[in-house]
Amino acid sequence: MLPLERRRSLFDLRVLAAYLAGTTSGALLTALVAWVLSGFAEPLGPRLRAVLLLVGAALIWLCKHGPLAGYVTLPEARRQIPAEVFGGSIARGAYRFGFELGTGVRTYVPSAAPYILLLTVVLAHVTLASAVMVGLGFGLGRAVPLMVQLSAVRQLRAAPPFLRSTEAFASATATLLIIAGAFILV
Amino acid sequence: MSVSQTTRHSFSWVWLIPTALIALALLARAAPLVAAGIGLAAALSLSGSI
Repeated sequence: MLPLERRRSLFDLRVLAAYLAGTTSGALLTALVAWVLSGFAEPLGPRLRAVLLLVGAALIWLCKHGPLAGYVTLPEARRQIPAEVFGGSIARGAYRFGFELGTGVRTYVPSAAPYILLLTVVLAHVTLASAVMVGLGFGLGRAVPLMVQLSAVRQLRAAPPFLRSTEAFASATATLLIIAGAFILV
Repeated sequence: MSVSQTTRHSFSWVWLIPTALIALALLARAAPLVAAGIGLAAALSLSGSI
């Protein structure tokens, strides 16, 4: 979305802002839909919801990264977001692209973490404020790679890698963080 | 060091943010902060899939 090596301009910041607005509004939409659906889990007690959350998270992990990966396919849109979203201005395209990414349901989902996050919102009986914060956090996180790309050209003195961001590591770390957080929220 | 390497290395630091956020939220017993932290963590796990 942003060219790699050149000085950054105000236009780049506008594109980033539009993209961030898109990812957060898309993520908020999904979080609020999940929060509304969480009403169906309300009759279940907190202990049962916690057990369901743990079992569900384990199943999701096994289906995505474990031995069930070849047998059970979790629902995901198996397509890339089409380039047509950039028809018109780049800023508007960045918003639409960000929105589709932010929803989390319009493209590939290579990690188990978003599924477990959705399960958490549905089963943990979170408040509306917490659901909104989940959406904001997810939207912000979806925009982070572009923010890093924007700042990386300025900061060529890179910090040494504190943690390796391999796919398996990223998914495992996120899953553990979400499960830990879910048990605080449930 | 290429720009892409710089990006990847800088990005690995980003994992500290949700971890710290959840740790802080635990200390403050603030559920919305925990919620933001887990949302951020889930999104970061998708960072390679733009």
